[in-house]
Amino acid sequence: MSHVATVDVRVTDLEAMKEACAALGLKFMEGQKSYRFYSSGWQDDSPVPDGLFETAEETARVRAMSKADRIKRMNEVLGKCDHAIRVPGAEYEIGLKSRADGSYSVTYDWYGSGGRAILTALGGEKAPKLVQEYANAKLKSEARRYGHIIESEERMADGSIKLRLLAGRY
Amino acid sequence: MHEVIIDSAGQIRTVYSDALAPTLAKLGAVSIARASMVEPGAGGWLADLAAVRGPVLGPFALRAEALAAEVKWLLDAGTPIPTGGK
Repeated sequence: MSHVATVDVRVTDLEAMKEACAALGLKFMEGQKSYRFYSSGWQDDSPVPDGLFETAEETARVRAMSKADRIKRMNEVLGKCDHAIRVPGAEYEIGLKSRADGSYSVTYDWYGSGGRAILTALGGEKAPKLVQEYANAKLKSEARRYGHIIESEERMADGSIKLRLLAGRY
Repeated sequence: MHEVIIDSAGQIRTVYSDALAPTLAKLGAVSIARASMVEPGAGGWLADLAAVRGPVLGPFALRAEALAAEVKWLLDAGTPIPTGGK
């Protein structure tokens, strides 16, 4: 009578994010309020990405705008952040922007040569490698806080990370 | 001992345990889905893992043996996410 728990990870902890950046060889720029992206701004030549705005409704609203209004709105948002991340060799940067629910969005421009190094470093548009390393750092941090012992950490052939925990108090 | 897997997309999965629940809740939105059924059947206790596209294990003389077998199968199979789960 077992159950499986899954967690869709949300970035909330800057210390864990700093650890994730260190693990991937990225530079966390605490307090940097802007991040570099395409110098001419949003051109409306690709879809408005999921997760850029706080809600799906706001994303849908922006997608439904006229082209001129959408370009204006997108350029109000893009390039602004609360913290940034630099990827060695990349012209552009990654922005972390705080949300009302206490989490951070991870935004960067993967279009063209300026963002290609970021796309490679993060493993895709949704930054899976960064999210995975963040989850690993945050999970270990919280596990220790709850008195669990981390017995082992194994990097698997399929790219996953397997942690073995000995439960303590909770 | 508990195994937690963080897949290459950054999603976490583990066989549910009360001991880990508060830790997991700090990571994000947690979803929990049934992975198996342990019921008495012909000849003893059976562990049905159809929810994770797995076999029916058993029969076992003791319910505890069936429970242990299903957990071992889940771990050996890499903790598959139940059909219909996230």
